[in-house]
Amino acid sequence: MNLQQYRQLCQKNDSENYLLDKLIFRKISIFITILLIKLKLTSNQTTFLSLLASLASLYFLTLNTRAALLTAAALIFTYYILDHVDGELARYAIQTGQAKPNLKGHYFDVLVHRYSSNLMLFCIGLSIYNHYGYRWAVLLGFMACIGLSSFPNVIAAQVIAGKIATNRQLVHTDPALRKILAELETKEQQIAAVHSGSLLQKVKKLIIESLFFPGHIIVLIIVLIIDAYWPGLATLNLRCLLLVGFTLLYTLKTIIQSMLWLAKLKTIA
Amino acid sequence: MTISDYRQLCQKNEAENYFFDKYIFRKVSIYFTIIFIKLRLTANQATFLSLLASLSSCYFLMQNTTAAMFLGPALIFTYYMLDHVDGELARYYIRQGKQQPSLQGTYFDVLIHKYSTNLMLFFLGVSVYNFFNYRWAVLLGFAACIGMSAFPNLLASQVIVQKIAQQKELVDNPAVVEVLNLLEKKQEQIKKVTSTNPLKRLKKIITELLFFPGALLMIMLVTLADLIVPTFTLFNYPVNIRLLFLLAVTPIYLTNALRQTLKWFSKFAEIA
Repeated sequence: MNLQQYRQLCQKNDSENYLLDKLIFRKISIFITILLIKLKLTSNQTTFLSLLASLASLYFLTLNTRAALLTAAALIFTYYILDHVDGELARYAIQTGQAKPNLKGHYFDVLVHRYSSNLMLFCIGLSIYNHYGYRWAVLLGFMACIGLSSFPNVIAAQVIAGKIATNRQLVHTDPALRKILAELETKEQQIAAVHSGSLLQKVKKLIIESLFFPGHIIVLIIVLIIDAYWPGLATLNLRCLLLVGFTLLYTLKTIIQSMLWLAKLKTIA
Repeated sequence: MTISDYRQLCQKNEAENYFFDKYIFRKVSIYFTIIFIKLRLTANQATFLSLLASLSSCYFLMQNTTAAMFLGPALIFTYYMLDHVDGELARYYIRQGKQQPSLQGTYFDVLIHKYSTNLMLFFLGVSVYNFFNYRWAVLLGFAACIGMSAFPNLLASQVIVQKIAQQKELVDNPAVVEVLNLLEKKQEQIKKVTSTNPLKRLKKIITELLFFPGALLMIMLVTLADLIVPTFTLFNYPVNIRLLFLLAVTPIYLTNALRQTLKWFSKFAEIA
């Protein structure tokens, strides 16, 4: 099988929902996927490895030596590449009849996502405290962590799941619930934006991706590399600025998400 | 209208799903509810006040002055009282025909829940750090916060709701129904509270004590206890009650999060 065939079999291709993945990460991830196919690793084993990489990066993120910062950046990159590889391995196994599709892998993947970049931001707060002794940095890291956790969205899902559990027929009969379910399924909209011909839509999508997911991971890696070589000012380094920016952005996002859900859920009895 | 009438109208009564609420908090909350009704406050306004009480308690929880250690628990108590009052107000206004039922109130209520006990645990860790200068206490509080967040359950909700959004016919699939029923715990909790089996009741009380709403009670009690009990030494380390509490509950919460995760793995393996 050649590289093109592997790409066709393993990757999302026309269903790609992130521009940054399409333009950068999928170009690299396929080589790791092929290697892991040869090594007969499963997608869940790869997700577990990505979890290990993500958790290990937390330790190095709290330190301030050049070696630690570069190791953290490398581990975050490894986590994010493996995050692509696990999906590619799952698609490969399903397409070649070696595995049946199930939600377990998807759940594991989402779980690792949710226990990764938010914890990284908390550890950035600890590193700033370790470097400058700023106590507020720990609180800021905690706030950024909470902000990035998308609590409003997951709680909305819990409330909706509870509603559906008490009356499953609502999924078929309640127009307000059906509308919310359609909005929850954002993947189709993301795919349309990635493959849309409109330059404006693509630029908008790229800005959103850069500010939120997966952009914040790339920004984090870049900031870590810069801070590894730039000692920073006497009172702040690039990670301080990153943390302040992310905290403001994600706290604001959390408030907006909460308000939007409050408005949407008002329509359901 | 008598207190009993108000109770009938506003409270959960036979549908009560927590022992602690049934035997302690509902006894008190109704008086606040009546005051709020007289003041014409809405359920969402009461929820907002509970959010303010909860967030401001975090500020006092991380300090170690006598005033702060009184104010922290007082604000937690206020938060938890208001958490009952908002539901009672909503029931009152709906039954009086003054308000239409909607998921908005439930969402607001759950949102505050998820931003309360876990944040308090983190700030309890910060208070221990401020007192003893143990850096690891902040990590302990953070780990307790993560463990208490029930994130595996929340993510399970997100995964299953998105699946239903993609394929609506799956809502009647037995494996999906099982997951939905596991997520909607209220009916199961009501059954346990009304059960005559002492073992089931005891198990429910222990669960409530360890998790919700017991964790809130414990945070209040350990903070107040630290006002009375002087610092003592354990294995050559100076400790206080709050630190011992965090040391005890953090492994429990983390183990519970892991247990939840493994449970969802096995459930989701059955859904294509």
